[in-house]
Amino acid sequence: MYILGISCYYHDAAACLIKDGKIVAAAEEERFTRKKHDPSFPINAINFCLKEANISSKELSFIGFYEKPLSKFERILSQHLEMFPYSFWSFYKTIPNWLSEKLRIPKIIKKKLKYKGDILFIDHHLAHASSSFLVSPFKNAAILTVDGVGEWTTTAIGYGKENEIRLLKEVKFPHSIGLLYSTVTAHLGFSVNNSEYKIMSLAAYGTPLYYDKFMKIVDLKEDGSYMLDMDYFDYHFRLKMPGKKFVKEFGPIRKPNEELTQHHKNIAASLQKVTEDVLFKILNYLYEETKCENLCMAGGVALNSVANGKIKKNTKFKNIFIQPASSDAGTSLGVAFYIYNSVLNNKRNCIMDSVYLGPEFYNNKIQSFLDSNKINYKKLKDENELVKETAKLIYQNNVIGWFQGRMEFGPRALGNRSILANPCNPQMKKILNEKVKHREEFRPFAPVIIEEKVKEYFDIDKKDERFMLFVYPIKESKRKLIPPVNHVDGTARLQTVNKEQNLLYYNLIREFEKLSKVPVLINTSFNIRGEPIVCTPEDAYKCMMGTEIDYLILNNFLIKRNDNLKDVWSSEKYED
Amino acid sequence: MKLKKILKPLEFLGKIISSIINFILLSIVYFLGIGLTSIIAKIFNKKFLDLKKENKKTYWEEKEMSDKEFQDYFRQF
Repeated sequence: MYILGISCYYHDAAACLIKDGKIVAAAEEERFTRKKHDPSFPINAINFCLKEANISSKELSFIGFYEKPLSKFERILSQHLEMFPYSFWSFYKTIPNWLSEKLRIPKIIKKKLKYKGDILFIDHHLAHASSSFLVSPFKNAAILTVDGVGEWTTTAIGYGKENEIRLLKEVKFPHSIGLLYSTVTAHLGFSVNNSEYKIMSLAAYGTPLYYDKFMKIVDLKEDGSYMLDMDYFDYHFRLKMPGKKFVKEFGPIRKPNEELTQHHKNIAASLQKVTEDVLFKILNYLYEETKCENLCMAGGVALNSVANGKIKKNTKFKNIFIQPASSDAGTSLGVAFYIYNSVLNNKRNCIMDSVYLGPEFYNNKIQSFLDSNKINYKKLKDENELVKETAKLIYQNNVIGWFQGRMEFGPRALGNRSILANPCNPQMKKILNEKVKHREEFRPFAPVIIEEKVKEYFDIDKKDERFMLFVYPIKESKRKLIPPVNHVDGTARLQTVNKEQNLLYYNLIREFEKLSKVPVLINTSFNIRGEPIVCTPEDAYKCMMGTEIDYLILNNFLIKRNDNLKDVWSSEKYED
Repeated sequence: MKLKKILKPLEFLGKIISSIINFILLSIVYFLGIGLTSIIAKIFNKKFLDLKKENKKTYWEEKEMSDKEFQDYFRQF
């Protein structure tokens, strides 16, 4: 039985196909259209999923959609009714889109996919909850979903048992910790629904001096429930998020290219502390309600890896599973599993232990791409030579574009579409920023480490942290060994890797360790700022030629940038 | 090529006309539909959003999670 899950028309459109309760394929639409966070109907992602299973849409048993569009529309109308006449501009800008697309979902799906079967609509937060619990290793778990907003819900708590999920309580729009985070993101001059993670990095440079000011805005109860003082916000009736009172309290909105001052950093630090306090209070209440030591989380706020890394210290939860594609992209997976396990009452038989669910390109395809474009390359004879050659190049401080196997699902590149570099070189952060990433100075790079060495380098209570969703302190004695991944507060958002998870990647780090005595690499996503992670060999080559990545490794093919003509290729422009 | 040269300005004109019509129609819907409903609702003290701080013990709201029938999942609300 094939079930297709779809999420689209807000941000991070995606599709996921499952067969008899196991994942066949999943991908975000942005990777194909090359538009970051592309919200449009994920036709390319769907076609890829169907092709991967070698089926047509006629063979789908069900299609699931990641929210109830009419319930969401009811909320939108309620906003306009409550805020009349101040919401006119927002009404004028958003309603045409609702009329042309969002209220015609079944028709669009049927027309675009030539599909005549059943379409099921699942509540947004239930889709989030399913995306985490139903593919977690737990039989029972407490569940927390937190994002900007779904239909009405912004935060929900519940419980999962076997194949059943119960969301018990919720906080409703306009009160949303996710939207508070987005408001500050906008206030600090970054793009909403895109750059929230930058605020998280910036927070480490500040002191939470404005914590009390924020707590005047957030009325937080002992049970973790909260209400925002909406006088500080405009997002419920305007396209801008911070209100006049917010600006009066925290100063003028920073322009995107304006210098980041200590004041901005202190705002970020204060927001991060408030977010953590809210999350820990909710989680402690959730534990008291469920008395279950397993926790599943999903929703955009669950990507706050700084807060995630502190959950065990601040709550009684002992085991945590967070959906690696925790934003709206992951709900495509959630609806598919909810239909299979909960609606159709099938036993759970899938643990999501890998994000390598996207397209893969074999050597013959890559070679024909290279030959047809007259690209100079060297073919490495086997994996042993590949690993040795790459490790040597990284050790010599070259920046490597690493393209192997199936593309990752979710926002993190975890070793199949990654840029790899030497973490022992103190200048490597600067080199990577100048050559490739053009990122803000304050943002750290992430390390990947082999699993058996993780406790030597990090203060961590477990070995397996494969999805890069948690930030942990680097052991003080090791900080000087890996300066580019050491954030200002001595932490790093790490990925661990073992043989079963990704053998080639594991062997590469092992080989690098032989040269450097350090079992760590810098792993950053294979893209430049403002561009989605690369999907095809062409995207990868284009990215290398438009930047100063020194070498590209496409499966077994080694391509040196300086051996090829630059003018023929240009990368997509970077932007915030 | 010549046809393209004629079509481009026409297309541009079409876009302007369509955005003017959109603006007029949406303004009518907003001020008559939304506006009147909102004013009447406000007279009867109807709230569409919880904007004002209330003295509550908790802000959690119980979620309605009654057992759903299969047919319920076909509904968009």
